[in-house]
Amino acid sequence: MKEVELMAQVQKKKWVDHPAWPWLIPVLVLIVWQLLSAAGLISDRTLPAPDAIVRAGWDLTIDGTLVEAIGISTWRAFIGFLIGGLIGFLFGLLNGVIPLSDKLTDSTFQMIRNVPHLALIPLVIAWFGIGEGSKIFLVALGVVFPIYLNTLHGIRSVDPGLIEMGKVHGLSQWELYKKVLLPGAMSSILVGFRYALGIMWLTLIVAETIAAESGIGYMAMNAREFFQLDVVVLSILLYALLGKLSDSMAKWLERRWLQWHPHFAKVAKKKAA
Amino acid sequence: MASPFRKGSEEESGVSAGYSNDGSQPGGPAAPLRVLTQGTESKGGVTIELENVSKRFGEKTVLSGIHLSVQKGEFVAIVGRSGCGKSTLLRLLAGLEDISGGKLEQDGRHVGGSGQHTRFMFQDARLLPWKSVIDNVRIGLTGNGRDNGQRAETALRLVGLEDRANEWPSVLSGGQRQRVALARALVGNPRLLLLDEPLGALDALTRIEMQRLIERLWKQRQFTAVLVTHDVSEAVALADRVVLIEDGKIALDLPITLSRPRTKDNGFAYFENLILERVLAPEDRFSKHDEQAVYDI
Repeated sequence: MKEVELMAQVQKKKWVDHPAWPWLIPVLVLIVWQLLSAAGLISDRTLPAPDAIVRAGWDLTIDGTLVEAIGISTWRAFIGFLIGGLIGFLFGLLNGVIPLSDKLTDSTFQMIRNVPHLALIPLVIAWFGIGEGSKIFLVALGVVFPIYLNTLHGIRSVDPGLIEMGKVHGLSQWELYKKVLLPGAMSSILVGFRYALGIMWLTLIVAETIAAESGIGYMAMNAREFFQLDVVVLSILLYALLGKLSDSMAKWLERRWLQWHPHFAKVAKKKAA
Repeated sequence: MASPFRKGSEEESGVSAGYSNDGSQPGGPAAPLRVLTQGTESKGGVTIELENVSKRFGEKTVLSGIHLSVQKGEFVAIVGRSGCGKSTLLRLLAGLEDISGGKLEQDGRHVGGSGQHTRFMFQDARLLPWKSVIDNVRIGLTGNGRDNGQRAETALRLVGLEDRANEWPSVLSGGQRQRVALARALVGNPRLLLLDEPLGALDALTRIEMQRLIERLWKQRQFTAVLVTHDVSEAVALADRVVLIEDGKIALDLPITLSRPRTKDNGFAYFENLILERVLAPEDRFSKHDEQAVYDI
């Protein structure tokens, strides 16, 4: 009896673990959507059918607009994230370690943080025009704060006992940072990283929709003028996919860098170097 | 205040000369030890000299008038009630705190900060959870010597954990973690090992095991050791000398003249009782009064 239950549990476990599960609802929605469109229940002036969107995607891929738009948007997102992330990380680190730096810059950071950065769009357009500068600036500004706050929190919450241990074992400042502070703060930093990725896409979408002459957002706004709803929906879906992709990337980093953490300790044994 | 008592205790220990230390030191270090001692010019323990040392935190005086000299390779245990300042004294020796007055010298030289040849064992193991066991041991080695890996392995073998080298500290038991911490402390071949109640959180059996391990390694490596503990029995089991600290002053400095390895025989009990009586003395007086009061009624 017990064995049977156990077997059932094991089987159930396998069943639950199947990688297809997360995709079930999106696929179901697509099917229902397609069926309703085919039956004429959803007008293609409200929402085009999935097959129309796929066709639009195919056409745009063939003439190269799609790849170009994705390329430009991804590049903006990446550069903006890199600049904002570096600034946030550096100040988080400095302010976590050096009290003077904290006193000097933290309240300034907090003040800027409380301004909704998207409210700056008119000002940013006045400064940078609608070129690359404005988008990159906004993304960087949006990304700085989650990274800054989480890095600072991570550094401050490293167990002081471990820092003391490092000192009595003669670690230099650099070693202390590399072996104790940074790994200790890493789980918090990665939370900031994931959060910042979300803000990065959000900022980019808004900025590209309002002021751009290339990129996915521009493609969507342009299509709206000609009432090509299939391209508009395609752009929205692209954002969803890109967001999901970057989140998976962050998760992958978490699994890789936080192997030691009980939460990620699926592989208890570290591969021998 | 303390000196008349100390004199008395010295006389008493003279009475028990029968339990004298045979003074035997191990012949040559065992084979794995030779690897560990390679490439380090410093050998043997340090001497420590404290002259009229005091320590204040703000208005509060934690230690005052501490005179203590520790010989090369000596094992000294510091006992006392909690809050008496014994851990502070150890932290002074480690350079984790600065002295407020007096003179503190190692090998006849003033030391500021944590010396490169000093290692410290805490009550908790303080292993880095993001490093494997072997990499945690490597923390105790400075620089990037080519034989660092080998030395870390040898240190792990000394504490009997070579087969857990590539695991995360989180899967080890409390005793195993403390053994890794011991390996980490010893891998750098310290000349002074400071132990701050390192066995306090372990169960009784693991404690005895660890005590034997520490004693064995101390005999082999001949470093100077200072152990802070609240367990008098542990102090008597391990130390050449037991120092009792009371209210920030040394109240008793008693050589333990028992031969090693120590068993819990009469001599052991004699020393244990002697120290315990002294530690409990003030309360004892009260309880005797209480008893008298009860009988009087």
